[in-house]
Amino acid sequence: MNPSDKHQVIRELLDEIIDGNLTEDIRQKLAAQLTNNPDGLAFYAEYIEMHMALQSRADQNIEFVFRRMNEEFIVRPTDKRPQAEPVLVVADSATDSGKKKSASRKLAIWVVAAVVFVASLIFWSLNQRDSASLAIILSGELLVLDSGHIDNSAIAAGEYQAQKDTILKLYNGSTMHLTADSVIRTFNHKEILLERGAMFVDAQTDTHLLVHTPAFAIQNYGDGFSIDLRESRPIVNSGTQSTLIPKIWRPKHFWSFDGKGSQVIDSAGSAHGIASSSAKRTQGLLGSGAFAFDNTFHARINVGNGGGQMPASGSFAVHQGISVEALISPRYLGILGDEDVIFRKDQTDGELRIHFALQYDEGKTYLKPDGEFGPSLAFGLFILGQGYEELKLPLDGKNGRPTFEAFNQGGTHHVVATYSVQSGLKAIYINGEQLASYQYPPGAQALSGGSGLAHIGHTPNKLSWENQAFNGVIDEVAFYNFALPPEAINQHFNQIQKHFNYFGYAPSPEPLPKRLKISLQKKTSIELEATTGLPVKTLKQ
Amino acid sequence: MKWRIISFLRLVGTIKGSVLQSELADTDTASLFLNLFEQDKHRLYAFIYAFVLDYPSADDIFQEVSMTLWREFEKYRPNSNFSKWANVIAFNRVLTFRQANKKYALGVTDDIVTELQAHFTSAMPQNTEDKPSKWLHLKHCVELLPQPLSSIYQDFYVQQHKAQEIANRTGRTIYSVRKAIHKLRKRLFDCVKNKENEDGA
Repeated sequence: MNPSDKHQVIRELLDEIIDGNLTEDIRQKLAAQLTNNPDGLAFYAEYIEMHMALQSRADQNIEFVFRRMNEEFIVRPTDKRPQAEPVLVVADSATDSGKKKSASRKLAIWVVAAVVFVASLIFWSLNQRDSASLAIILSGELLVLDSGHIDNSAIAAGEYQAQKDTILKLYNGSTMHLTADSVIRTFNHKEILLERGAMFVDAQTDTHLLVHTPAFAIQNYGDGFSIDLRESRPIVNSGTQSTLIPKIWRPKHFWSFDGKGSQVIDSAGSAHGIASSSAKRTQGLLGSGAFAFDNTFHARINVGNGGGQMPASGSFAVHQGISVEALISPRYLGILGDEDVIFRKDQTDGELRIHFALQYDEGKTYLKPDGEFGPSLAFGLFILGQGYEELKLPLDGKNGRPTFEAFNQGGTHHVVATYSVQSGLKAIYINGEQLASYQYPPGAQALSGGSGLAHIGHTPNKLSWENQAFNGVIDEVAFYNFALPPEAINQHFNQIQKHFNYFGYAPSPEPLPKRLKISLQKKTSIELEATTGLPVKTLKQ
Repeated sequence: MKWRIISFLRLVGTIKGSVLQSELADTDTASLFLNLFEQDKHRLYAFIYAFVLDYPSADDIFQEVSMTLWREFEKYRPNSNFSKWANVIAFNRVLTFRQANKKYALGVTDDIVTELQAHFTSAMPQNTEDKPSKWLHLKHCVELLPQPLSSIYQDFYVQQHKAQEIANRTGRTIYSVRKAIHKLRKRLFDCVKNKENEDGA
């Protein structure tokens, strides 16, 4: 017997109701079924909840708008929702006449509402004018580019270009220096966008300032700080209380393994996985949970294909770069021919596969750089103009690399594989240190995605299930569609040492937040990546 | 039409009432609200529909409740159960709706309202962390559908075609299309519950 068979009558009544056929007779029958029937009520609630989860009606009902220019966050109804099914229930014949009787009253309400609406708009626009000035030009010259206004050196919200070095006094007390040709957009007395150029702000006690740029924002309190966008990589000189808010930081997928059951929750996307029988939940390397893999046939977690239907499609498709990150505690045997997969997307993807694994093989013709490496950590990816190639990080104890024995002593290792299209650099990191790399021509495009499945802890290719299972524990697996820069990887490693997840939050299967705030070291010069806004390296302290 | 007036008035109210300064701390508040709301919105809509059994009414109540949740969000205690808090606001709105429309006999009968509310309250986990990701299996179950049901799923739930439209396009009777949709829902529900049972959830 299936679970719903027990409640067949309730299900059939609900199907009728959902179809739009609710009648008084059905209401009464439903009431009779649900009265003093806790199981029936539970079924009733769950059946409706499943239908609504499938229908996504809530998505079409409400929208969220953040109007930065007007400083508004608005929750409002949307008109995009589909036409409603005709299911209004009429209990008696008085309904229609009742509706007609109230028609004139509705018209009156419409008129009153329109008057209130117009009055509100007038009141709102007058208010806007009263509080229009945001800063004063102390020296220099600004050119109005878009919707700005300058009145006796006082500037309103809008876009401006500095014609020469210019100093502004914001109404929150901050003094801002703009270099010639810098372009800013002012929103209010403590929030601006630096579109290009450079600026620095004098120290000013008890003042908050939020400066947006195309790739990041800096929130600053008190001390002076500066932002320079004139080079290919932006440079920030922090104050004593400066916070970096990068534009791009969130992984496409993040499996913290802190949940329960065979379902493996993706806290960043919707690639929820299913663990096979030999992938067992165990004590977390970080947080409450991880998965132990026993090097056998069924030691794998299937995380799907990310919705990919053809090459370069789906959530595992990468275009600008890629990062695969994990915590591992391996018991790799290191025998010739043995492989322990950390993450692999393959099958019908063919050459466009993604492969991050411990390997020991010989005679491969698609290694870059070429060579024979013994037991290694390997990262394979398809790059346009190059084909599918693997980078090896040999576990040989040389040049800062760990020995095979040290790597397998039961400790936890933070491992990251990256490729950046912009720089052309492919790299593998262990515990925050870049220990293997290969330089492709900058701009060489990476390709991945498609209908092939991705697995954690094993290959998705059934023919290789005999010898490619992971042996050990894997935790906190993250997949990004961009290359994490070196300083960001180092910060992730540092967060783990403090028992936080990569992003500085307490380990949890809950969804990752939409925005990340990184506290910058005091009085430090930091180089950032121009596309993500993530830190590349610390220049000086 | 009746509810379009209320929607209009709400829009006016939104302009006046839902303004939030975009300083960082407050934007965080908006972000937190969005996170919690996004996770809970399908359940919340279902909660409302379970009482009113009518899409236009559920749409209007859901919109109004969504905006009320945002306006009242400062009263929400972080780390407490957002769903429980949202249910209280939604249930009050449902009662107001039923009172205002009692002559139309909308939704479930009065004696069931109390039982249903008691069920929702008792079924709610104590805090957000305990909340099971109830429909996680649904995606997998959709992938397991046989071709005819998969096709109905695509038409009805993904493309959001009405049963009549599917019938017109496929040459089937609306009765047979609806029957297929009923079968689809039953198949998915049973699949999800079976997988939950396998998990020991």
